[in-house]
Amino acid sequence: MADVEAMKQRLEAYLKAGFPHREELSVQQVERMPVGVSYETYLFTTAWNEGGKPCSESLVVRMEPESGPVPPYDVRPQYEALKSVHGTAVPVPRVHWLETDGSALGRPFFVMDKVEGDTLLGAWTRSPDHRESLKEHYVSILAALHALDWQALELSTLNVPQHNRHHAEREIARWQGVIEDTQFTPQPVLAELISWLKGNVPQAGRTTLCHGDYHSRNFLAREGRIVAVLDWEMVGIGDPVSDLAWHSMFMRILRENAFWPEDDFIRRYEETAGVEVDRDSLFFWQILSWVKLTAIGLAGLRTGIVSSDLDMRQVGLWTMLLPLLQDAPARMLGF
Amino acid sequence: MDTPLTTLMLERCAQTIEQVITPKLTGAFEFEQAMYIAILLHILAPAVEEKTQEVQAENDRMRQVLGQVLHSLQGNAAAAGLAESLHDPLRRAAEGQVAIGEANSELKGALVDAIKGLDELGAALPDETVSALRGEIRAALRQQLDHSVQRVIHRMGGMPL
Repeated sequence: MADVEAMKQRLEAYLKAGFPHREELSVQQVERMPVGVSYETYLFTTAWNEGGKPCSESLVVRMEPESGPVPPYDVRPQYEALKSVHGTAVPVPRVHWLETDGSALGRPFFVMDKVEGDTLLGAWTRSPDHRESLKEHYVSILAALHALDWQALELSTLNVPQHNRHHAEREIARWQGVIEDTQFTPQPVLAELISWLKGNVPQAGRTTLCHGDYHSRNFLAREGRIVAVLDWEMVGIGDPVSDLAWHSMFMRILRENAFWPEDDFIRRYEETAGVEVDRDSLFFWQILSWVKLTAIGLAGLRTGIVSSDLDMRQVGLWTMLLPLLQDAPARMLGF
Repeated sequence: MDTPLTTLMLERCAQTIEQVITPKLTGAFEFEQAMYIAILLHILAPAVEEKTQEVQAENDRMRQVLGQVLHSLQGNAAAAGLAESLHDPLRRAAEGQVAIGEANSELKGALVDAIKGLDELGAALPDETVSALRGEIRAALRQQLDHSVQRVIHRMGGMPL
């Protein structure tokens, strides 16, 4: 749904029904955010009167797409994760409500606070004095996330691994399935990479809550501190090394090695988290990260071509990236 | 060889989007739409002229590799199913029964079958045979990767990741 006027009307009707005590409620300034290529993100401001006093708040809608690059879609895990993690050392926006009934806005969604802040890259570039603190916070948040007692959190929609290779095996199967379901032509390079992955599944040393998309573009920062970790749609329970590998892949893609050189980042994480990261396991998860992102790319390409929602970002972005995303892990494996 | 008219037209469309339309757009979402359409047109335009030769070279290489796989499977009862699945696409490509692009897709499908089949056969083939075949398969994959990466890098600039 790219039509923001239609979104404004539906949101207004939804809020009026949900908050009947809010007099003269209106929705203003709906804007579809260009960030991300999966969930649709809308920023809006709502204003109302309460006892004659004018009130307003800026909020964010995160809505399942009609189809997208990270299937299958289920808005509940990220809502649960955000709700559970809020108030810990992992800064996240406060979530307000979850709507799994698609009739309100067209598809399931949740609403969260708008967090004021600069992108991490923007803060890094504009504030040299804050670079060290931002780097440190970026690592310490990841260590804190992995240290959370996930069994004590309310995460009923997340799958719990049944053995210490289960997370990796499940991820291989998931992304292989996405590749096979969405490819336009057979993908022998990916078949070879998956063949290698299946023969080299490591044992997880720990089982933790994993963000699933931990990289520098999913953060907001203010005054030298990270104020929000965003984009929790791939959250899961599993091997925390997967987050480290995903981060290192994105550093290469975004060419942001100056932010955290890979070896330095891993060493700092080890010091902060008080654990040793198995380098063979890291290598496995790095290869799997490239395969996962390529699978997302293939699904994104198909979405961009067949979806009724006209969005050429998917087609342009993935046409440009897909060859490079397969080339990098092939080189890592020596071909 | 002159640049085909289709290529010139697509390039022209991309330039028009970049230089005439994009500067007038005020919405971030609309700006990104225009930008990515221009990128796509830049990538697709040369494919019109370059692709045929590259695809033919890929097909030749895949036929060679798949022929080696088939040869290694001869007389191996456990590999009969795999051999059968490779036979048809190889024959059709060799006899020119299908268009070059379709043959490319069929041969890639056969290569996927070969990769999975070698995994499943396990001990039914000697290790050194599997290792040699994997090497040949990977060389064919490298050729395909080089083609696709070069196409992107040549047009968009940059370097491999």
